[in-house]
Amino acid sequence: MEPIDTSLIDWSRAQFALTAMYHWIFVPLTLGLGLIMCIMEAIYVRTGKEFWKATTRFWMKLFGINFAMGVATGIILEFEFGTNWSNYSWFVGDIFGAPLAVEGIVAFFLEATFIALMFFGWDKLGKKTHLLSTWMTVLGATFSAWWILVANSWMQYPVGMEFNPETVRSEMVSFAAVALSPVAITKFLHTVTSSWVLGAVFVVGVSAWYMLRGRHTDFAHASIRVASLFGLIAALLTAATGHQSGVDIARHQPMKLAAAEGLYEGGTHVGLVGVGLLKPGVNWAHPEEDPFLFKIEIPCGLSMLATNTPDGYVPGIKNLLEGGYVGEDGLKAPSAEQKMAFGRKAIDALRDCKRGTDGEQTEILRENFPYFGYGYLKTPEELVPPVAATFYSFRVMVILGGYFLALFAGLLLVGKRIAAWKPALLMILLSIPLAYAASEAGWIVAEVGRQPWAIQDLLPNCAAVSKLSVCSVQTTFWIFAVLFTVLLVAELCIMLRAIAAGPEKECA
Amino acid sequence: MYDVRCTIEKFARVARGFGEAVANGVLAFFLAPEQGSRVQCETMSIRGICKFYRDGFQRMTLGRTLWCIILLKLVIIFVVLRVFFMTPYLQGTDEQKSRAVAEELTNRN
Ligand code: HEM
Repeated sequence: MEPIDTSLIDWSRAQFALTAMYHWIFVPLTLGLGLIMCIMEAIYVRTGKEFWKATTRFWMKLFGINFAMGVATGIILEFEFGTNWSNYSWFVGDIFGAPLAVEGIVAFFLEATFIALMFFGWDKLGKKTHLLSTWMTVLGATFSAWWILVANSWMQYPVGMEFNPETVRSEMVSFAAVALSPVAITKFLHTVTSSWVLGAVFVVGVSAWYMLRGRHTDFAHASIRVASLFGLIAALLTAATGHQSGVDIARHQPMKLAAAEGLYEGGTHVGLVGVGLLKPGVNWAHPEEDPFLFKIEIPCGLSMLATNTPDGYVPGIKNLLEGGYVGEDGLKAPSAEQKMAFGRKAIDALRDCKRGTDGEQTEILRENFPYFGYGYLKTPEELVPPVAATFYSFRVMVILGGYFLALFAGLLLVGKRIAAWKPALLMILLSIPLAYAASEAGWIVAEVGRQPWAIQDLLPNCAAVSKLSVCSVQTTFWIFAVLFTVLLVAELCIMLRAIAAGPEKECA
Repeated sequence: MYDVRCTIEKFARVARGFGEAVANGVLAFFLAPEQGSRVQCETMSIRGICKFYRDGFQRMTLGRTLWCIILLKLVIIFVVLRVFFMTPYLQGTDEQKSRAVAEELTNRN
């Protein structure tokens, strides 16, 4: 038995989180701003007005800056898999490799070809042809996101695979099950639609700045009109897909849902907490103590979300650890202790298989494999994710989602009169960082909420991490922190300078 | 009786037609000149494509700075980080890697 230093796990996780969150600064703007510029160019092609061409070109320039700064930041995540999470990388086998390879080949070439046509082809291609290349660039980027999200979804809901004890790898048995798992579909839709919201907030925010400065006001009005209509639709879709994400986690990751709701003791007629303040230091073993200092909730909301009935049973953290309740499948849920025992059996069977395969051990491994990861846990408490981080991030995301909806609806109602209302313009400008906060908070819910798992139920972080020295992971963490800060400052400078320069004279 | 051969032949004809249409479309799409949708032979060559890219790169302004940053980033990522800091933990043949991971996974519980 070789215990893994918990600070090694923490530093490796911190490094991955830092890289993923930095990478995620660029992705949603690429997807969101990309589609807005597609729409603007379509308006140009339809109306033939040079004004819309210049408007599109301006947003395309900002798109280009963001795209260039984001390029290759995702590769570092792949390095981290191989260096810091080597057991995980090997264990996932071709399940991770296949979607990423498809992404690399198809989407990259699609994007790389059409992006050149889009930037270089303004005076060389016909209007419609150019419009098509703009759409293809954005569709290519969205298609890339699909494959990455398929890989992420598999970690949340591992389907379409079989574990091979010979190679100690997961082997794909159904590409369709992996690529089209319900979790992957919802994740893709929610991620993409929420990225559209971010793109729309960015456009209205930058336009509000021009209005505050009294510059390029026609351009700013036109951009706000397009972006707020687009943003309103996107925000509605985000809420709908977010609701479906909630349904999915209720079904496949009930502990994440319990953490996101601060639900220690489950039951029937469970309310959905709208806003609330958690009492610090609540222990799951004593749920009789109210975990909230205060809360406002929608009665029966969580029961409705999880079971589609107002009196449906939703397990809380304590129930999930103690088991004994009847699950959706009609079976009695095992306790965490029982799952840990099954997991240990599976690991022992794997050990025996490796010593010299005999059919019985393989069978024992197969039977207990759904609980494989539980065998690495020492106490049931390790199954509880950080409740406060998950709970508050969820509220930040959803409340901001509501705010963006109101913002876009308000902008559409007010129309050009917004120009006269300076405090509102300032608020719109300040909404840009809020959109990033909502988007990053979404990932905190999705990833922190599923701790301690690297792969849900199959591999916890303590088994997934490479046995490196803590010092080396700390060193690379700080190298990345400095590198990302420098690159981010560079991007912000270039982006701000481009914004300050404003659109071409046709828009002035 | 259902004629399999005939169906396959029909399918092949449709597929060939579709393939040609896509190929023509892609070429036309790539190289259609501003003036119209008819593909001109002169531009429909490798030279045309190279010229398109060369002109594009030459006319770049802000793009130059962005390309410099991209290249610098790639050098840092692939030359510095990959070689000195982020080397793959598992080395050797697949057989050796699988043995190493099995060892780890069966000893950590
Ligand atoms: C309006 C109501 C919203 C609801 C009900 C909602 C719900 C959710 C849920 C339940 C998750 C976790 C999914 C999982 O763990 O698999 C999630 C994740 C996420 N959310 Fe939201 N969300 C909302 C708004 C937003 C907004 C406004 C943004 C950003 C502008 C956003 C961005 C994200 C992102 C990036 C993720 C991580 C990717 C994913 O797991 O889908 N969400 N959201």
